[in-house]
Amino acid sequence: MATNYLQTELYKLFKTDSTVVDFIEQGSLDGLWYWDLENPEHEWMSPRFWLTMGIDPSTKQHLSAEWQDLIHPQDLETALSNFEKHCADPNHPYDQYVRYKHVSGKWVWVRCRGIVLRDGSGKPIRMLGAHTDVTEIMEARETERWAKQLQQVNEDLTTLSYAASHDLKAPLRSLVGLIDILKQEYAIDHSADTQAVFPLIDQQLENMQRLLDSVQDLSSIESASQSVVAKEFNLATVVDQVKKDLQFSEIDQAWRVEFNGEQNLRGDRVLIYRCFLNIFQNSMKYASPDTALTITVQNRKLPEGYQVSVTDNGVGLAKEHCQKMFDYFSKFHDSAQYAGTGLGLAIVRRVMTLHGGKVTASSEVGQGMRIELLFPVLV
Amino acid sequence: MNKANLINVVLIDDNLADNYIHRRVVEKSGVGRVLSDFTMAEEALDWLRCQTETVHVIFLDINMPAMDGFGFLEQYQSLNEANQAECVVIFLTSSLNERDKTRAEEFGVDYQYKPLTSERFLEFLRQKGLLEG
Repeated sequence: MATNYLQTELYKLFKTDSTVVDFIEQGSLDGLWYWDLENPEHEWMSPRFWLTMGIDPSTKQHLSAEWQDLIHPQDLETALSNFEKHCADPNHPYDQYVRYKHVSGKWVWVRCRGIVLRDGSGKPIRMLGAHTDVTEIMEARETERWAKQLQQVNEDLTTLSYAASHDLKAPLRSLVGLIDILKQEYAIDHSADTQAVFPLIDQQLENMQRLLDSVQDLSSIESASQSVVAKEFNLATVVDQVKKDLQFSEIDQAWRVEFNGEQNLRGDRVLIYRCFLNIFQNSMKYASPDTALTITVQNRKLPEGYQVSVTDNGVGLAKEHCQKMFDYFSKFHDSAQYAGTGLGLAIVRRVMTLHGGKVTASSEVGQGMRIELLFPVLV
Repeated sequence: MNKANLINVVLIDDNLADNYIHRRVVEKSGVGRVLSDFTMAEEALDWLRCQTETVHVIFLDINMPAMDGFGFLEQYQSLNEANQAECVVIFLTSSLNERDKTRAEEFGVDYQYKPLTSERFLEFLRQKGLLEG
């Protein structure tokens, strides 16, 4: 095939006009080197070669020893081995990724390619090489590898906490049974200790059971997070379901659902159910002892999303604890009076985060609690 | 109730404590007796293969080393049918995940949470027609 006239012209320019070579060195490479294999201590390195490592080129003498101190020893070995193979057989490429020490102490990843030039007898006399800085690519790869590893660790931990909470239930259930036997046998013993100890044991066992249930719940939400199924669901239907399951009695408690406008949301219905279940359980647990419980559920559209609020007239919580109550294992009330795991509202926050939303609370001691869920509006 | 009318129960659970609890539940109920208990499902199978007395109820744990409850059921259901006709298997478990629930349903086996109490035991027997009233 005939050579294009532009190629012919460019190749001629290479011979006559050094600005062309300079441009390629500056514009597409991160260093150029030219090595005298007959006097191997001599090697010319372009200014860019040194600048890539943060080094002032004027401090360098064009000696091959100058870069050999900076390259990673392991990579130097690879490069030398490739060099020997390439000298023996031109078809073996001199091409490898090597690390150079930047003045900052960081490693700079460089793709180093080269070609040996030979005399009439085929003896290597010079070598021309080119550097390309690939640090960003290598670091991105490294980050990706880390992310994958972390994800794996995270999945393993989720599985572990699920398995642990599941397996811990077996000995716990056995204990419940064994203590039942003791209770039957010692029921006739009305000593003060027996009367006090059995209820306390029961309470501890219950706490443990509840704790394991919550940890299991949380870890199953974690594993579900790998595959949240976003489907359209009706808010009122979910709330009604929770109300039914909680056996909310209308006699001494009031439950006002004041929904209007759009009530269909997108999300994982099962997770959203758990979210509301925990919020309502919280309201019922911290109901005021003096006033009949009223829970009001409302919805409204805000510029930043779709808001669902749950307001109760319970005992409330000090303002400064309001955001902390969504943390794992956070408790603010007397455990003797209010049994709990401190995980219920953590589940709420986890579910909201998984849906790209958030949850906030506002309250004052004795002033009830208002929890606001914000769902992102998916158009 | 004489011995002949008692409900014969076999316990299979790797947890000795659970076998102890369930043995007591059966004995205290006054309507049953435990023929034997096992901590390994394979041993129970071997025993059942050469058992001549009628077994009415098997309490079966799900999570056990080596052969689990489902593995046991598969083998057990291929034993002679005459024996099975009169025998009801029930899973006793401390917690059940969705997959286990589905599998139990596929086997047509009911499940109860541990520890089984005398009340729930009697109710179960009535439900299955093993006890009148």
